[in-house]
Amino acid sequence: MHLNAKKMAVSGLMLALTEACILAGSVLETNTLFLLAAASYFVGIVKREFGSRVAAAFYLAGVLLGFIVSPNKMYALTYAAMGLYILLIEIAWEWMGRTVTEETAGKYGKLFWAVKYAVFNVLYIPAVLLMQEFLFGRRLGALVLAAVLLAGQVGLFFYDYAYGYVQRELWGKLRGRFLD
Amino acid sequence: MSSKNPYYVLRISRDASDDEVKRAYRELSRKYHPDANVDNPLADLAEERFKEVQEAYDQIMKEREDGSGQGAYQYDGSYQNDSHGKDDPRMQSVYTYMNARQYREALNVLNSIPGRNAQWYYMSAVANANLGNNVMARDQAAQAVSMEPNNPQYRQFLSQLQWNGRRYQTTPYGGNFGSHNDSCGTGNICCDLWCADTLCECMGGDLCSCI
Repeated sequence: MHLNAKKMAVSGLMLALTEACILAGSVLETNTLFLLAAASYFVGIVKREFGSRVAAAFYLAGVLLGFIVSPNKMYALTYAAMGLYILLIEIAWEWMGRTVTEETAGKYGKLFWAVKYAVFNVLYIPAVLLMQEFLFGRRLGALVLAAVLLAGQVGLFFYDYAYGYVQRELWGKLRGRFLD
Repeated sequence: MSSKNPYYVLRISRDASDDEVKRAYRELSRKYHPDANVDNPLADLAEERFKEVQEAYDQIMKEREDGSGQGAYQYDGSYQNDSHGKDDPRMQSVYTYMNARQYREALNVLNSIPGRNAQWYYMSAVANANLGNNVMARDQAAQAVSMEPNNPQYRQFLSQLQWNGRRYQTTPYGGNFGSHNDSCGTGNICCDLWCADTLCECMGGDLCSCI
């Protein structure tokens, strides 16, 4: 893979900010999820600007560094899951674009929602079902488990909303200053 | 990398299968191998051709390997339905550069071609799209479609660009995100509140106990 200097510099800066967010999540325990979400959004930003390959490499570097620098490895794992979700949905959008036509664009838009929830649940449901003792310290009852799964679906809605906002409004305003 | 078209060097068409490429490579390697041209007065030329054959084969194999994971925007490198492309060596070199993902060089060659038909606009759109010049790519793709409305490849590419352009421009949730003003803040009260709370917590305080 051949990267030019600007890509390397901007990606490096994003990686540093990613790790800063992961570390800050360890320090500010009340803001952990927000900061890890913010860290994961950088994967989407890199994908938008530099393509899938660079984004995949960025994600792997972020996960590796996260495991090295973060005092709480669970947070690095959470970041890994969130970043993977962002990477997969962005790649899914790109793949869908290869077969979309003017007539199918509307249907594809709705299909993308289904793809998002499918990708999320492929990561979330096995983690909740198989790692209950690890995540919650005990096995959960059926009702609590159902509530956790449902809360995840609601959480995804807000997470994705915030991601769209960051991409459109925040990065949309800032990208000219970094890339031009 | 040699500037010659690798398919021209191996004397095969661009649509040749991997087996055909390998067969052509073996035949030409046998023909121009230095050991087979020891007593040949043109041994130097044969050696040069041998190296060209090696490079051409490596380049084609590398391009085909990279092709499965290539950039977001793909195109069909055939010359069908276009007499302009068949006779113009510059267009051939554009395709070679595009296959090698050297889009900047492809654009340079395109800009040197005076006649701009639908294929020109399409190739320029693909190169610009892969360089991140999405607005220009969309305009050029639209131009290609308007010049050749019945070309499904051009229409599909334009649809793909329009689809990708929608990703970060429209909100699927409805509503606005506040005004685009120059004041401090993101324009979204939830985001501003979270930022302020996070900063307070960094300083040891807590703005909102619920977040």
